Amino acid sequence: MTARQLLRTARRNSELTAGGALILAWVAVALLAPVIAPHDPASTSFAALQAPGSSHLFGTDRLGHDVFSRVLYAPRADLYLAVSGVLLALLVGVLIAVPVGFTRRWWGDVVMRFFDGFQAFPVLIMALALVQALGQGSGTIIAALAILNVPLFVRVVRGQVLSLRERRFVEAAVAAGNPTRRILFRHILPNTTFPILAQATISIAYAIIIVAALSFLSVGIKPPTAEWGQMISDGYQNLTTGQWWIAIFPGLAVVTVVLGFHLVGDGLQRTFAIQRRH
Amino acid sequence: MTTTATAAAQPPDLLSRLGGLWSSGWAGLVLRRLLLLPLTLLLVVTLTFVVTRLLGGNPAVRLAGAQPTLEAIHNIELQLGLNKSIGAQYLDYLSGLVHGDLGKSYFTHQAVVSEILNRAPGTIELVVLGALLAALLGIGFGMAAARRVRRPLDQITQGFSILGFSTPDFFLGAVLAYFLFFKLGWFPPPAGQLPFSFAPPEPTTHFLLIDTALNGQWDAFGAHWQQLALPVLTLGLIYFAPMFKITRASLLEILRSDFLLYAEACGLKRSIERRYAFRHAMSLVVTYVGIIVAALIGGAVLVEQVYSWGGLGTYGVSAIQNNDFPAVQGFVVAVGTISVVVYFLVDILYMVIDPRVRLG
Repeated sequence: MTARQLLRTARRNSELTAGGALILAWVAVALLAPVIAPHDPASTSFAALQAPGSSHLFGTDRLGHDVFSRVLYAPRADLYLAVSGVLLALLVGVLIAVPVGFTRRWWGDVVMRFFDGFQAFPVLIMALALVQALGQGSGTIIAALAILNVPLFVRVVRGQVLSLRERRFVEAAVAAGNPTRRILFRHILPNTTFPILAQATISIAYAIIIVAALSFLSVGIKPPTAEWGQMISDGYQNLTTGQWWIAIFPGLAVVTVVLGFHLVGDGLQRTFAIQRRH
Repeated sequence: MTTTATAAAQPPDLLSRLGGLWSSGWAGLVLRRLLLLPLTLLLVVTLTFVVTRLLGGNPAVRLAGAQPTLEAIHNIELQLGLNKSIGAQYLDYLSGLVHGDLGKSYFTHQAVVSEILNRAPGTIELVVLGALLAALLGIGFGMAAARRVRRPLDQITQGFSILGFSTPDFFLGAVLAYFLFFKLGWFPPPAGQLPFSFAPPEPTTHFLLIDTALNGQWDAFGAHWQQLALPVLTLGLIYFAPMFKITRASLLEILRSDFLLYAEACGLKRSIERRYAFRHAMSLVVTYVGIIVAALIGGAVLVEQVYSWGGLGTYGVSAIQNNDFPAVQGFVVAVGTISVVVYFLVDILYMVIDPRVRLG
């Protein structure tokens, strides 16, 4: 799939367009945060618990942080962690799934059963256990997200490879005497781009929620760094006393960015389904 | 045909009768499922043991206090049996399990089994009611949307569904608590299963809904329903999303299938057609309800946290944070057991709904 094809699909698919716009907007915010944020996100020099107003657009929290600046800086943590974790999973998942799907020997099934058993554990509990075991920190969160997502990529890619290996062009490639590695990575892998991309966007959507949830359970990114889940967890205590802005703004930020990834994921799946029908 | 012929030719001893039961219809399927149960559980239990031992730090170090001496650590290891070989620990653990003993928590020194039995019912009430609400909303709107593809109702409900996928449950829980408790005062504060002003009922089943009713404490019964309302609403609204999506998609596929097109061509009444379609879609939907309940037993942690529910999820989280091996294992075994039982019930329901499963 070329970039031009993707653009053409996006123009006909309103979900892809809307979702893509949301994602791009948040990526831009993350990159430009130092320029557009009015204050230092770690600064606690403001009066605590100010309501949203002209001096602090989203108000201030209990410690006197500017909530608006923290909401703008947070995607640097949230998006970075979620995207890195999922990309790592994608890489490992593809490397495992392509040979597992292509082989007709017994070990293919063994690998799949292993991943089945692995997925029996509740996702969040697994993430919590992994972070707890590996030690708190951003590297650990990325590793935990990767471990959680590898089985999903293995399943998607293996399914594709299973059906592709029966296709004529692969048979032809085998008959022409191509080495297996070349068949796997030159003939089969390029044909799995669409489902991998769809899985990646949906996985990132869930990963963002998991990153926030880990903070909510206080095993995520440590406080001075701006992170949406941490802000919700912090502001939740103020909700029942009326200071709604501390938790609501970062929460809405999470919802919009996750929505963007879900829209793109759904759009990609729909496009792929249509493509397959033709 | 050949199998029935040979079976008839042999004397009908117990084994072949069992074999007949095994391979025929209802009883056979239930039997096969029942036999698989302990195997699946053994797998879960073993995996849990391996994972907690491989990943967890040394709890003796934590228990020994802020500045532990090597000797203190060693003594604690002796006490907890951590000095034995890993194989011996595994066997100890298995034999305990068989006797219904999950060990004692390293921190509270209470039997893990009783701690879990006290806490699980609160979570089960929450999760089952939440999943039921999600199913009601999801199936109702999913069916309505599938009959009005691309019309306003379909597009609005689809919008809500994708919002449900995008909203963290703990955030929605917080928002609902803010608006419905703090702003409007329609619901009690998010402070656990029963307000402090009520004496907890005699714990017979540990299900507050049942225990309060058994004792005739109807005001506590009502108060518990009020405490349940917001967390159940939170779970219902979030898990509406997958229920809606699966109902709509499977109903659409069936409405476009050959057999319903044929039924329509034959002039079958709309209402009968709908009933056929509904029945077909239901088998998938039931599976999803089961998956959601099973996933939420351990996964409703965050909503529990928001509403200070103090259920199974909360127990699991603090166990993991404390490296409390027996408690973690007990938690995972409980979650695993409940999910295995839920899947078993789903399989049975499946047979009721779909005759192909029990006859095929």
